[in-house]
Amino acid sequence: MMTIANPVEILLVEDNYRDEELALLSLDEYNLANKVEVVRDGEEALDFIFRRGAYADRDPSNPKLILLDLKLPKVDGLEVLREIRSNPETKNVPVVVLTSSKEDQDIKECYELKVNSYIVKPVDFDQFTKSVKELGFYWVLLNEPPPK
Amino acid sequence: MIDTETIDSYFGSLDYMPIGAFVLREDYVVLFWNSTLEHWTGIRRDEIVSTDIGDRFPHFKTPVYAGRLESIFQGGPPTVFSSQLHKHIIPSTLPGGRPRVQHTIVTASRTLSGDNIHAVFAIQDVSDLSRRVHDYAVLSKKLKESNEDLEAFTYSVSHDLRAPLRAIVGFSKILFQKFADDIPESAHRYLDIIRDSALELSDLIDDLLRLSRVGRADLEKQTINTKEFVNISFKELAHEYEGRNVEITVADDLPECEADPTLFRQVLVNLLGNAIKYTGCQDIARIEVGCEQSGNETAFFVKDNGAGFDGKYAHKVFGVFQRLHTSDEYEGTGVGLAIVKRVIDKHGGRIWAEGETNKGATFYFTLEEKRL
Repeated sequence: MMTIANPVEILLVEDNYRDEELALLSLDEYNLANKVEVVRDGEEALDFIFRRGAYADRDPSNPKLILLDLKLPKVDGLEVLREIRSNPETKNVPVVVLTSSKEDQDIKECYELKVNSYIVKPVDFDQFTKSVKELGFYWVLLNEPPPK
Repeated sequence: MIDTETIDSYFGSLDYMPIGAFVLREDYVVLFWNSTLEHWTGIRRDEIVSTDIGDRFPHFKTPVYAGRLESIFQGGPPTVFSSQLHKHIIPSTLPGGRPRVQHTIVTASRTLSGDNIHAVFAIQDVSDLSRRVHDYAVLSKKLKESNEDLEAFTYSVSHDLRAPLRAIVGFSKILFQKFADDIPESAHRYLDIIRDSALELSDLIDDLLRLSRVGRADLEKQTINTKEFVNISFKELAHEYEGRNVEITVADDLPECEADPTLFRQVLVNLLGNAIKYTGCQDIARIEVGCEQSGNETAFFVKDNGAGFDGKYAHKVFGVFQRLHTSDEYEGTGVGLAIVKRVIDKHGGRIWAEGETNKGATFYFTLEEKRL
């Protein structure tokens, strides 16, 4: 096992609690589930990322991965991504969009905002589990995050 | 006094034209008033000739009109009172009660009695045209709105409709994994049915989104190496006929075609995919891709020796959700050929099918309008 210095490795931005549970179950296969902070909408995500509101006192380091849904209450995923990328503190944080949408328009806009990866959530559970746990493994355990 | 006889003989040709026409002297006295204007306004020629136009239509004395008429009376170039700015130069109503929209051109005429210059008004009734322009604007606004609705609808389908399915598939699987020992063997089948049904619905959503995307896509035609596209499409489908005995024949003389590469690829994958699917029960599946020339029209075809269909339902195969086989026999959502037809329609081509039950099917398509 790696030693994990960062209390929150993955920020999961997901408004659907069933998708959240499925994602956490999948991440747990590499024991990553307890390193995940879940936020429910775009505003909460921005509060977490920029340490505002309820997250004003959190550990200041960036998560190693932000898993971002696109269709979110209050502030949508594209806007969250835009704000992450336009802030010098967070512009290099790996963001993977994990969404139901295969619309070309969504994919294009995400890449224009320099998303690190765009994953369409599979409906099939086995594929879903495989995608999410591999994502977690790759970005948290394998990938070298940007230096602080 | 005005010599009406001379004037009428001079301007009489204006009388029978399908435009409103009248003539003004420099002092704004009406010299001529044609029968179309009598009809439009109910004012007879003998009532208005020799009177000042300003008596009945005071706006002719306002600076906007007077200024421009001044220039005409100086022998200046023709001037236009456009229907946008001067809709009703001679106010009159249409039979339905709406005002008649008018487009007017005024020209200088000096040929009558020496030095005097007259202003000749020719008024076109553009009510129909302007109503159509208005209707068109209303329609295109409506169309824009309904397109926006459709976009929003598609967006929502794309994002929201799959999430509950993922939960159904996911949690029935988790139920099975976590409680395998407690679930009786006979109940496994039910869990499978739940899962398969949800996956089927997910495929259906994907296909419907694809269909709507084809409808919205802009056509970007290019010259296509048809044979190469056919071969690539077969390769893409390879996993669907792995381990089966399939004989594929692609004609050497397939001509190039003009088509949108992405959409054309979709056509091929759907047609070839169908041929592969419906030959599933044959010992040796035979699939042939070729073309037929008739006049200057090229029809491509995909022919198979599969399950075919009853020829009397040939018109139904391209309808959305129309299926000629039960899903027990052959899986499918009934959207694939509807997508194909929509792509072909967008290219201005035609598609038709021939078939016979258990004797295979042939799908023909062209990619451009038939030139006569």
